[in-house]
Amino acid sequence: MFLEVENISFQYPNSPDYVLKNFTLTVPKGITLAIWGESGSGKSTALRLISGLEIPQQGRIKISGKIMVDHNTFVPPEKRGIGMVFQDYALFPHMTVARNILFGLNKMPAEAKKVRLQEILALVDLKGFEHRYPYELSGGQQQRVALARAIAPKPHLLLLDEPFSNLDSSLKTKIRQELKTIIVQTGITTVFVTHDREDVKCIADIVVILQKGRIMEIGNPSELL
Amino acid sequence: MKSVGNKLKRVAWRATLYLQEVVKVPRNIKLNLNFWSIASFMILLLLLLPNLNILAGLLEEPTENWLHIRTYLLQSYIKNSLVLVGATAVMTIITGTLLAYLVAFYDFPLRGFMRWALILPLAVPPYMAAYTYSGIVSFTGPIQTFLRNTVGVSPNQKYFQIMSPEGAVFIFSLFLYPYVYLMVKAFFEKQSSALIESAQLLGRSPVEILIYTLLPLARPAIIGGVSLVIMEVLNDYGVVHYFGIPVFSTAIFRAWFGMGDLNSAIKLAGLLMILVFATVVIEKLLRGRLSFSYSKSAVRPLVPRRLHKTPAILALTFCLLIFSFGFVIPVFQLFYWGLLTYRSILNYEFIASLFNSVMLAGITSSVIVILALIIGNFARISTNQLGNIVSRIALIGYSIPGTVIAIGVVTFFIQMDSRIYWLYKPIIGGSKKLVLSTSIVMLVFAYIIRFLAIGYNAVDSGFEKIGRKYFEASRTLGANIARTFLLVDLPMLKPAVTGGFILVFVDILKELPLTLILRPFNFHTLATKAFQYANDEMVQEAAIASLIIITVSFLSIYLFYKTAERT
Repeated sequence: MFLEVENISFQYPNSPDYVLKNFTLTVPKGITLAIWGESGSGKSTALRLISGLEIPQQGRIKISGKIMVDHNTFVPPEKRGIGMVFQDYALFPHMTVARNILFGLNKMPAEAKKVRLQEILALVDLKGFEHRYPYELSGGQQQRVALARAIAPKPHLLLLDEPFSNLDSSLKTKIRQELKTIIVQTGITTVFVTHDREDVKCIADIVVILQKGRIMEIGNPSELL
Repeated sequence: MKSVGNKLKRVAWRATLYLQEVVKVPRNIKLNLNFWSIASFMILLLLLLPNLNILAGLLEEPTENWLHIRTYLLQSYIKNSLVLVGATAVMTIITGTLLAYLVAFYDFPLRGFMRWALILPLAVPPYMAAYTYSGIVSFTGPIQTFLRNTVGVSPNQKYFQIMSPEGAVFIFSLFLYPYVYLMVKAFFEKQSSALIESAQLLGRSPVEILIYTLLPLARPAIIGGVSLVIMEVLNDYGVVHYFGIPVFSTAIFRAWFGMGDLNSAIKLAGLLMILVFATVVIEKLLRGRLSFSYSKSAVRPLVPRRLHKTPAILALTFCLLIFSFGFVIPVFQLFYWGLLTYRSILNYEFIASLFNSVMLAGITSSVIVILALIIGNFARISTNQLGNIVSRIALIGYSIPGTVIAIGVVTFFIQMDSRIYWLYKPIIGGSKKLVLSTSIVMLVFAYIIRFLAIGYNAVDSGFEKIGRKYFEASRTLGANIARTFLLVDLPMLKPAVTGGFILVFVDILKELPLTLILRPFNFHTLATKAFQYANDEMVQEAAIASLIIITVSFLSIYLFYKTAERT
């Protein structure tokens, strides 16, 4: 298994209730898994725990066999080799598209960076936009920059937090297809959370249905939703 | 037997939970131990030590002077301090709230200008206002000269006695009311017009609405504003010294420089500190859960009601009167005096004190902004309550009066000098024992304690504005905390950092008590120069220094008002 989440429990400080309780999940390599649930079901928290933005009170997370967090280990987010697309994209407003994408490539030699940038821009179909600032882009373009930025450093695992929630419904269908194509092209293991059944049906190989911090069902999207 | 078994089970279960926590301790320590946390704690420790020194001093064996002070003087210090604080509080509440009410709810000629012009008295440090006003009403000042030479009356001097507690209250009220005005105005302007309209529909008159609806609602804002006024009054040394009113801050000076009795000075400072903390606690209690603000930005904003004829003239006259007394008159007087005296003033010594002011303010503001960034970043990244506690502590310095901080810092530095004497003995030779405590390092250190809160507030609101999302995005892209801070946070914090820098810079230019006590021998700033001239009966010569400080403060207020309006 590529991603193993074992028995995770998590509660936010000052909150009496657990957001996730004994949450266990495994994701095979190359698979796209959706976590589907209502708001408040703990699905975004699950992504934050996998990425290392939150620390669980209990449990263990492993990525390709290496322990990311347990009672005596914690690997900070920057060392986990994951890419994440945030719900509101969180593009750095003071950097151009190119600099946003290059941000995660700082350890690469300059020449390689240039090549990678062009490669990625082509992949997300944003050639010619490299000198724009985020506020000069449409919602759909911003979303693609966020995706490009997340996959540019070639992460082992891609996490997407409600990737389409900020888009017009007319755009959604098109961008879902594009995202699916990009994920297939790169072959990257992906976990995404959503409350939209259509997202799941269109993109996911497996779906996990989450309710109040507990997994209700796991299975094939076309069967469960 | 069964219940015993259950109990045992429960104990075992608790023990496992406890063990689970204990096992995580090394991991959590490693997680929280980084540059930001260590630096933040070091900074706060340095800030707290001098102040704890003072509280410890309260317990020390009293000297003979102290017995004398306690028996004969302490009562009048307490009485005078409380009278000044109380009367100023009442006057600033009335003036500040009334002006805020007029400007927020009514439209009258020049209202747009008055909205921000009424903040300007804040640009005039009260001690400079005190010199100016006592010059204006003095025997040789413009008013009495006019009465004698033009009108031909020689009035009784007792009507011109500004150097009294009443005079001090006049000065404090006129130049500190903007604290109340600003907070209450901001609060009123956030209210929705539905609030007023519903009260009107219930048959209430404007006065009734003010008294029964608006004032109770604005209570948190009023208390917030007036507590700043009280801090300023307790911090003041310039006004009370010039007017000869014995209060805590002058008493601390006297005990120390007059009687050479540091021990008694510390005791007085300790008492003053207790008074200040009492104010803070009372403020918290009075505000309690009152921090309500009903309005969200979505509601219909307030539309000021147009005033006509007499009410409009009355409103405008009131605003004009306060603005004239609080800004125009003193500034024009200073300008005139400046023209009279600039030839004799602008010498090498003056330039040196100008340079000193700018250098001190520049160095300190830079250091404060850096420290504020470190603490602010720590408060943000810390995942537990520690961050909260740290940011609270960073704010307390501003409520501690300058004289108290000065005493604390001096004792701290003298102790430090004797502790690390071995270190600089080989470098500078054996004769000089006090190195740090006779340098500007001590003064800068004291400024940092007092003004860190100003810089921290600005930086912290900057952090709050950008939130955590960019920080998190950067971390998932492989950048550690330091790289994230330098490449992502810092560029986005630039406006907040600049704002904080300017605010601190201006406050240091104006600062008097700390500078007077802690400056090296023969070291002058614009503020101490103005103080010296005024106290040498050369009020007119103090004008240029005062004008420079007022102009810089004016510019910063203008800048902030304009940027605040835009956002």
